[in-house]
Amino acid sequence: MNLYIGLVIILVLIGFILVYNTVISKKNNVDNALGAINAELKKRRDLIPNLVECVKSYMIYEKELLEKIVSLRELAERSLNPEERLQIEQEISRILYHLKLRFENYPDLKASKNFLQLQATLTDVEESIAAARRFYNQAVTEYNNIIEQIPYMFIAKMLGLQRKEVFTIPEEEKTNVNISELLR
Amino acid sequence: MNQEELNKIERKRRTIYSVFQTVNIAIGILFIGTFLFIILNVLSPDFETFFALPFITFLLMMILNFISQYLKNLLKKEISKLVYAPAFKEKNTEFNYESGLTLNEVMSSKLLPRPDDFVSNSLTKGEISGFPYKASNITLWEENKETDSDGHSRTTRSIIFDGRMYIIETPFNKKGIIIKSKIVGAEYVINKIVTIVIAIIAFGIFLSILLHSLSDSFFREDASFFIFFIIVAILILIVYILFGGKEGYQEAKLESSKFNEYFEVQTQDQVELRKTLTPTVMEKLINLRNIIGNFDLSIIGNKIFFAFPQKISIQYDKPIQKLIEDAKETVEEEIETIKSIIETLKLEEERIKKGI
Repeated sequence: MNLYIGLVIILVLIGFILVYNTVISKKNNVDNALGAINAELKKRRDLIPNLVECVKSYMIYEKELLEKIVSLRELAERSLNPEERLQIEQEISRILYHLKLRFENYPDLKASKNFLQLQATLTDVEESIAAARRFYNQAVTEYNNIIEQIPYMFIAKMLGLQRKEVFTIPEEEKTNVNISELLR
Repeated sequence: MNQEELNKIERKRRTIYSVFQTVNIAIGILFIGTFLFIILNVLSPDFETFFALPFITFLLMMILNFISQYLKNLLKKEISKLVYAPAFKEKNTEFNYESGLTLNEVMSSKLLPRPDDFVSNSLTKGEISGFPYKASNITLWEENKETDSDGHSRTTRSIIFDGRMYIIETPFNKKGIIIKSKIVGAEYVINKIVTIVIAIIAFGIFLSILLHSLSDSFFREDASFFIFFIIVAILILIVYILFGGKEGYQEAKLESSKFNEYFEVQTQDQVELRKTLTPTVMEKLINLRNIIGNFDLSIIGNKIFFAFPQKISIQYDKPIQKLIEDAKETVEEEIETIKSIIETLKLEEERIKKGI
């Protein structure tokens, strides 16, 4: 009889280990995805000084916009709060988007080899940011699903795991923004 | 190719094909004759002829079969040289029936397990949409050794993959992405039911053996040792399930439920995977799956690998004009399929570069 009880305990223990590992791996996947976004954002922040240096002599009428992006970059570098940093990054995205639109007005700039190279790198990094966001959203969806499913929810409650929010593209990124508003 | 040349090829094809058919008919007659002879003489056998005749006919059939295979190969070689090679050449592609991809090239796709035996032929080399590519028919076998209760061992061969593989060189440089088709539809349901039934039966047998063994005094004496042994086995199984994938590759799910239903994806880099498999590419792959059926794809470094379970089959039993039409159709199909995927990936790369 003791043997059977022992066997049942072993099976329950193995089941517990499997469920626990699944929940933890989903949680870690979300952390990995967030890490991937941060790594790509860091790459973009590192590109900004070079970009500003390259365009400032051409884009004399966008001086304020360039100063704004440099100050936002420094703010993001200094910020220790991840949520605040993500908000600053969204602001940087908006300004970069409008800066890119204004590149069209400077044909001399578009002829610069250095600028073209920087622009291509920036575009690639932004594509990576978008891909990392997709990865994060997928990881969060899987995580949210699993922490509400039986038997995973018991482990999730035990570990105090909460639902996480997916990334949404801010409305202002989808619509045209008043540049003067940005520079206030 | 002018009419006179065509007539010459057709005469050659007909001659070889007639000999080939005659040999096959002779094999058939020998087989039926021997069979009838055995049936008619089984009740009152004249021992010398009863055993000697089948032995002689069997030898003859072996020789004829060898001749038949030789003629078939000869026909295929001639047709591939005279019909398929020119059809591919029209599309700036080389075709060589006797060459094929090497095993190392096939293995570098990471789409197939290492086989015990490997054959390849019908190599094509060319350029599609500015990308150099090569492809060939490949067949991979695995051998299983079985030993019966008397200690006799025999080897059985089963096919791992029988189809065509394409290797396309691109200017992109990607970390590993492996996309494999899943079984879908009725086949999926049947597969699932069979798996569940087998699992239940296997578990039932395992449990009954385990419970019976535990009540046996022999096992009870060393129960702790056997339980320890079972735990180790289960843990090894768990570790294998959790970490048994390809080295450095992680499974990935994407946003499209249809894509997840059709394909299983493994990657070395989740971000790069999503840069490559954009919604447009995913949709294109789903459409392709609906049109051509199962296929596997991998993108490793600067190479794209496609594996289709369909070969280029050299026809030889039709008039030359029909064979030329068939060859042209085969070439078109091959090129169009590859083109559609390359174009999708290429367009996406260009879109990314331009930041559209």
